[in-house]
Amino acid sequence: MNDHQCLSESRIAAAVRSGAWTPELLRHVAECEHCAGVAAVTAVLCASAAEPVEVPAPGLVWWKAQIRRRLEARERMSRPLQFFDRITGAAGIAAAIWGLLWVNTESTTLVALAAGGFLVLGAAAGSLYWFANRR
Amino acid sequence: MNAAEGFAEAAGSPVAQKATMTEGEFHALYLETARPLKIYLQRLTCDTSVADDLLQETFIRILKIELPPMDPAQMRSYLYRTATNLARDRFRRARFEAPPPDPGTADRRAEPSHLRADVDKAFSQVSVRERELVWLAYVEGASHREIAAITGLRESSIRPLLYRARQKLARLLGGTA
Repeated sequence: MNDHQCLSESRIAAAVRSGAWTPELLRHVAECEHCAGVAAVTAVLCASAAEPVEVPAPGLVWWKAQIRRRLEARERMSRPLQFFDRITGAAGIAAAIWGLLWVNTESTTLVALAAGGFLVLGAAAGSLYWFANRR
Repeated sequence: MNAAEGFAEAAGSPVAQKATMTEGEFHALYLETARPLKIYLQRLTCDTSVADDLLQETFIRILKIELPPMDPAQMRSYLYRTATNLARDRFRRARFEAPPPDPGTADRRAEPSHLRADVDKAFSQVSVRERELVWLAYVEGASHREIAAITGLRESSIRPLLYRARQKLARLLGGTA
């Protein structure tokens, strides 16, 4: 036995919890300072744990879990719709910018580059979305 | 592999045949474990309403995932580990450890006994880890291996940490212990 342990410690704590003391354990706790300390702390903590405590009804917790599950499933299903909402919004802005360029510039190269750039950005966004949400 | 599978595999149980819990299974588990788990969370957080939230969140998390087959001891360890992690997350978000209960704002739904008040006060003056160790070891009767699985500590470090925690708590409990 050293300061950190006594082989009987767990049996002493179990005896305090259950109230089932053998003569051998009673003798030991009277002789072993370490186990006497364990017994004292265990007794106080167990007495405090025996006081009444309220817990929610199991049906309530079950119902909350079902609601949470449905809400999360609905959110997962609506994520693609939100993504494509943003894509169509961005596409509309891109189309407006491209249209302004087409009307106001004589450079067909610039217009073509702008169209190509928007297409590449759209493809990149779609790829990122697929990569992030793949199963 | 998720945490539940890790628990089952570490205990030698097959990881196959996962399933979500039925309502009947949940009721049986809840009736057996909710009360001691709530008391454990009350001791960790020193706050009855926070313990109530964390208790419900623990069981809601369990119900969300598909669990591998576990015996009652493994399920209990898994529940306590989930609850412990949720409590730590709560502390981390709040960036403080639970302050000593203020008599002016203490939970008045049930007047605590003097013993409970002494234990609450002593617990509020030890670290969260010390609360976990002492409660799991002496009240729940968890083995050092189970405590290591629940708290994430190494099994070899449980004994000296537990000894120091108990010494500190005994000093704080003073004449009560």
